[in-house]
Amino acid sequence: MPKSKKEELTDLLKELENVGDIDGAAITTRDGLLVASQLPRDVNAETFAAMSATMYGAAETAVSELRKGTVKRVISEAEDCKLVAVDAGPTAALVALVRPEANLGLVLMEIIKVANATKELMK
Amino acid sequence: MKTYATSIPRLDEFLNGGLRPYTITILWAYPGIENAPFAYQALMERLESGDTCIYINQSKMSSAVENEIEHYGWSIKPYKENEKFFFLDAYSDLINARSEERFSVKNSRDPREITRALDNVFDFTGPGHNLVIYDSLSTMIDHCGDNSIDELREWKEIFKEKNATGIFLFTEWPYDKKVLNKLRLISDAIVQLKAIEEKVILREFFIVSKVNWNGKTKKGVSVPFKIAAPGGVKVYIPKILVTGAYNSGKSSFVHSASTRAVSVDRVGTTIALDHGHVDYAGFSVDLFGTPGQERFDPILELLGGESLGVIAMVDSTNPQSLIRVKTMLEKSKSVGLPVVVAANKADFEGAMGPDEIREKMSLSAEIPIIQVTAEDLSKVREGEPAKLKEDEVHKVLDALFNKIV
Repeated sequence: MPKSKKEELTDLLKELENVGDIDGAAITTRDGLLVASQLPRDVNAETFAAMSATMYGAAETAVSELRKGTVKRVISEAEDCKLVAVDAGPTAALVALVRPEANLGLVLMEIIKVANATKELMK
Repeated sequence: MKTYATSIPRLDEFLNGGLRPYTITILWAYPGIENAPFAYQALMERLESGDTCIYINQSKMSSAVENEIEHYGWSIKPYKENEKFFFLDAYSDLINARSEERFSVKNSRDPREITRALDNVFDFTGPGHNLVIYDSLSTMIDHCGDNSIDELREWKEIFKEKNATGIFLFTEWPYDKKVLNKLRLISDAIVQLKAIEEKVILREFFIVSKVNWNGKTKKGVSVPFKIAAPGGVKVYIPKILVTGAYNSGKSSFVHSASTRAVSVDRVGTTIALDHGHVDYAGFSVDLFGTPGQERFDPILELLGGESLGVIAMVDSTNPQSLIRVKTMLEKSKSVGLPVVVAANKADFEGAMGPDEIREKMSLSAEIPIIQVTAEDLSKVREGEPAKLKEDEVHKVLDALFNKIV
């Protein structure tokens, strides 16, 4: 049987975990519904997706008020992790949990790669 | 006529109380959708009600079935020990293995042999009703040929004689049309399990497409579900929007209704989103509470999409909130969705009654308006959501669930 889209997306997220310094990731629709996730067990994926979409949307709205172009990514720096949300096409966003000590340049490159693959899949 | 409830939410209503004696109900799944959890849930309900159950496993090892049932949080062990549950192993023979079960089919490729073995098990079941689960008809057709389903008529005769009812699993692989038609004719009820892919989100739902007793088979009525482990089959509504004017009690509603909820708020006002998960009456629902103040309307537009229903909160003491909620419904693209109005603060002095609210909002008669009140306002700390009375919150949820499925 061919893989369902959801399985393909989950595979993409697993790939991301192999990069190192990434502890998990999720794909959410812009309106906050979970599409696929690969997150630590104790994380409630639905809530995480809803909140990440809100965070991304709020940033977009704030920037568009300034008329300074579009948002490329939103990075939240916390004590024990960095949260990186990037655009994954007009209907989705990709959010990754990155370790605080990570080399952000490398990690970002990989995240954007997966985000672009996600964009293709969701077309 | 006796009825045998399955405890699967909504299904028993469609079946007008449950399964009927001596009948065969097919759980008719499309490829990729699991139908076994439906059977397990019905099986546990029947065992708990004192019935005996015979599980004919032809598509996997009996130990695999037992493990799966445990995965959903149930156990058949005590029933096995008390001779209330029997496996009839029709799988071991297919893979040339020795069966470890007390009852097994000698030649699983011959439907007559299955009949004989089933008859034999019935010699050991006590008086009372028996549930027979057949797992699965697809395996039988694959290994015993298209004509094997004629044997079902024989089994129905046995059911009548032994006081039994059947739930049969079936997955619709590309079979001959004649086979499918024959199955439709032979069965007494059919529950179809289907899926649609919407923007890569897979939504599964069931439809009762045939009941030959006085059940309901309203055309096009589908029930979205998901299978939780543990927990079993739940009616699943991934998104219900809770919206309304500033200070009408949206967060209070989300927190009071949910088993767990989180909010993004500052000094008591939601600025981004309340998100809550509700497990109630066999339903699994995620609530999205929007901010109320106009300056947050971009967030409202952002989060409104893809809801399956709306709870519109109004403040019964504030006529302005009635106008505002109508705008919010438009902005969140919720016009036309099933909606229930929750009239909060109904016990306050000067609160408007439901009729007045209906008139002021010019709502049509089919939109329910349900009054809600807080439990004890003196206990609510400034800036925190109030606890609304549980029975009233449930009334709102019931009304909305009834409109959605």
